[in-house]
Amino acid sequence: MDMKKYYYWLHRIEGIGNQTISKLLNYFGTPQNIYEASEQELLKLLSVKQRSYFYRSKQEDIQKEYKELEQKEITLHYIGEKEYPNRLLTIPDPPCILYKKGHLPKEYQKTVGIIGARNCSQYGRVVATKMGELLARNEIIVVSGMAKGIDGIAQAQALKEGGKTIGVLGSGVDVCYPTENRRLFDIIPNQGCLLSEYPPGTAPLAYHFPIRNRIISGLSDCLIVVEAKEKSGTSITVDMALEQGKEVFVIPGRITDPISKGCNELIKQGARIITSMEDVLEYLKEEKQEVLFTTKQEIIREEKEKKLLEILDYYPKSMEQIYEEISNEISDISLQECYLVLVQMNVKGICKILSEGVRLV
Amino acid sequence: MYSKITTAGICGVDSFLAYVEVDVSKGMPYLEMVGLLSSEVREARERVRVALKNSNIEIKPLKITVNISPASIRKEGAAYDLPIAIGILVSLGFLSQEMIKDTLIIGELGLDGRIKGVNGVLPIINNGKQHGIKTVILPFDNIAEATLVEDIEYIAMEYLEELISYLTSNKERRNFIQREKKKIIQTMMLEKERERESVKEEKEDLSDVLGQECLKRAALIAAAGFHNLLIIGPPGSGKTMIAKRIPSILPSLTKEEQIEITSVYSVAGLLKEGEFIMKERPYKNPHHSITCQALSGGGRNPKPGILSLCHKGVLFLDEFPEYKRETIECLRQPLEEKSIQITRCNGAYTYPADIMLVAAMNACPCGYYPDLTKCNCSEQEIRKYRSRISGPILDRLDMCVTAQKMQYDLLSNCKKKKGESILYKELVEKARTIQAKRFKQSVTQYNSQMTAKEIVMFCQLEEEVELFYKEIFETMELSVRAYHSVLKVARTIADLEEEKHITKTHLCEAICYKGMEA
Repeated sequence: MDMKKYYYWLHRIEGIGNQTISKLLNYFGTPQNIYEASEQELLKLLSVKQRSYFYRSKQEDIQKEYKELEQKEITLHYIGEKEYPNRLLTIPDPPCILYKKGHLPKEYQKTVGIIGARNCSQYGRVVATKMGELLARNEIIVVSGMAKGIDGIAQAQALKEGGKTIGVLGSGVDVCYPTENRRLFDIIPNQGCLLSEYPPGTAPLAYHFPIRNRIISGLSDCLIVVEAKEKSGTSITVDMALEQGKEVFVIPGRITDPISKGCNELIKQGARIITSMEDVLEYLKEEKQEVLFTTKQEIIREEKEKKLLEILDYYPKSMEQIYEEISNEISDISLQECYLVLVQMNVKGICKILSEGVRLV
Repeated sequence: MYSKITTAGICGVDSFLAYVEVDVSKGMPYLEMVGLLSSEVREARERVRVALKNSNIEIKPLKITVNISPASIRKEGAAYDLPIAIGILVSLGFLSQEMIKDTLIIGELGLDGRIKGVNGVLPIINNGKQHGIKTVILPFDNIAEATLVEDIEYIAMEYLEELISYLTSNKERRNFIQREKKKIIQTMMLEKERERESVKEEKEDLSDVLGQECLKRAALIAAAGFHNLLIIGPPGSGKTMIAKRIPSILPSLTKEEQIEITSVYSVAGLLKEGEFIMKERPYKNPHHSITCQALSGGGRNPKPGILSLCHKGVLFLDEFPEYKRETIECLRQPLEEKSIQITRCNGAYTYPADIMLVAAMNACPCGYYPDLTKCNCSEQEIRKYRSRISGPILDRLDMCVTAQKMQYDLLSNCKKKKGESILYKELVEKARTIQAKRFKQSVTQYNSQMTAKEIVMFCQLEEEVELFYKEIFETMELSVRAYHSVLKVARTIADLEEEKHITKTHLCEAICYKGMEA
């Protein structure tokens, strides 16, 4: 039997987690030895319950199950294998086995982790989008958890710009969670990969997520925190990144926003603050590829558009309100004219017309 | 002796001719009734017998057999009392068969011989006229409604005795009675008209709504093209007020439309006493606890539902997502086909339902989104709230507009205009005339009903505008349905300005009304 199959078998045994596996591997060296281990040797290392699971698993048809894995285009990497990501070797408690869907980027490529609140604000959304875009354009890989909110937004934008991204999941790599990120789940294997330390088919259980966060920070050269509440999963990831000796960058927020409280607190404690999008690039000593953002004022020449830009905000404002405010500025503007300018601004990508109103992009 | 009387029944909003056959022969004294009759028709036996007795007619102890044909259709309602009574009288020789030739008889009888009003008179007479009926004998209560159909003679009496004496008197006397009756009817109608006029003065006007220019403009466009409208806004922003005033800017009803609406109300038995014609566009705002059946019509003996009672008018559904899903879904067919089909064990019924749907909803469960100082709803909650309205229904809502909560200074500073509705109505009527001309050779009546083929034909864009639309379509990621509804709405906006071509401005405005995405 192939080495990978032994690893797969070992990993599938119920009641034997990451730590027990490393213990066993330390003792036996290879999983094949474990498979062929005598009862007496196991007596020292495993509990009664673990042993019963152990023997039962030997009777399962592991060959067939491994074949199914291959059919789903899922690859397994074990620690010590050439393909196993080097960055993870340096962290405490690295995962013994990783499942992968897609292709791991080359080791020399820079990686940046973007994490943040699931229930993010419009501001967080804008920043995450810009960050995803910036990193993708500079061929930096975005590492994140494919969660709702900041994670998914940053990854989606990176993909949209043709960049690569790694999604570290808290479920099996064949389980899409959250379901609203179905599209990401489908695209990521083509432009990067999905990773998980849990065997395929594992459900997204709550306690998986904080544990997988160490892989996110482990894979990243530095970490960007976009929005975080005071106590959150994000802060766990930050703790792990610091433990692993990674640099943490934080996007500051308004002090009145509860959703930025965690971020501001981190800055207070000495995390690096991001005041311009390029701060991270400088840290990574990347040469800037291009001037990335022309400010909105530069693409707008017309007076009406300027005025409307002042009125619009990052949250949707209703047409009624916009018209009311613009007619205070320009008294002779008609409603139809206002509509025309707004649509033109939408086409230019400055604002977005939604059913509940218009907001800046 | 045998006699045959023509009468009529109701099926949906349509009517069918029925015949009451009566035969009197020697035998055990008995009144037998056959012909697939419901219990209320069967009970006519007692009503007729007593009513005849109390009208001073003595029936000899004979065997009387009554059959109502066609026997394949189930007969319901009390309108068969009078034809049965007349049939018996003819069979017994009190009246001649000649007197009731080409005559349609309907009416319910009281024990004292009073002829009571029945439902569905208008469709019955209309149908009778098409089948060569020249005279109609009907209850006096229904005469106002019946006069809508011209070129037909009416005999409207209050008592059976009165009717018998009329039918047995000579021609001169009959003419005299008819003249007297006509005078009475005319004065009665004039009185009603005056009453109606006095009520009219208190009608709602669009100028009652302060500010809300966008909303008013959207209402104007929706009314002009008969587009279905979705209003999104926080509580207390005037969504209901606007919706209630939309009928006031819709064009006046034509005579045919009035008769169509009156037919529905007549069948439903909802014509108020003495009211004979629906001159106003109907407006209904059912509560969100309404059931599917109440909306679409139904029951064991189907009756028109709210949808049909809004025919040619406005159906306003406030708090749209609060309606039961199945209730909203049953709007699908009527919005598409302008009629509603109900199948029950007794047969299939078709009711008209050419409605303008105005729906109102909040942007989120708490109501205040996007005002983040008040709204605490999560994105998921908002999405869940909106997903209660399915894509196919959103498909049918061409326009979507946001309402804004009014600021204090706007409320106090607003100059109160007057008679805005009349102004808007003129604009709408102008646009409708253009549409009528455009769709002369088609079943389509308004821009909102245009088929894909007609859109290609009537919504052609000039090259420059076309390119601009392509750009918009791509950047805004419009769906195919949005593509069509934007064009339809743009056409209506162009019609309102009496422009032949759709310009950039029209298109942009239409895009700002693009519906909510599913």
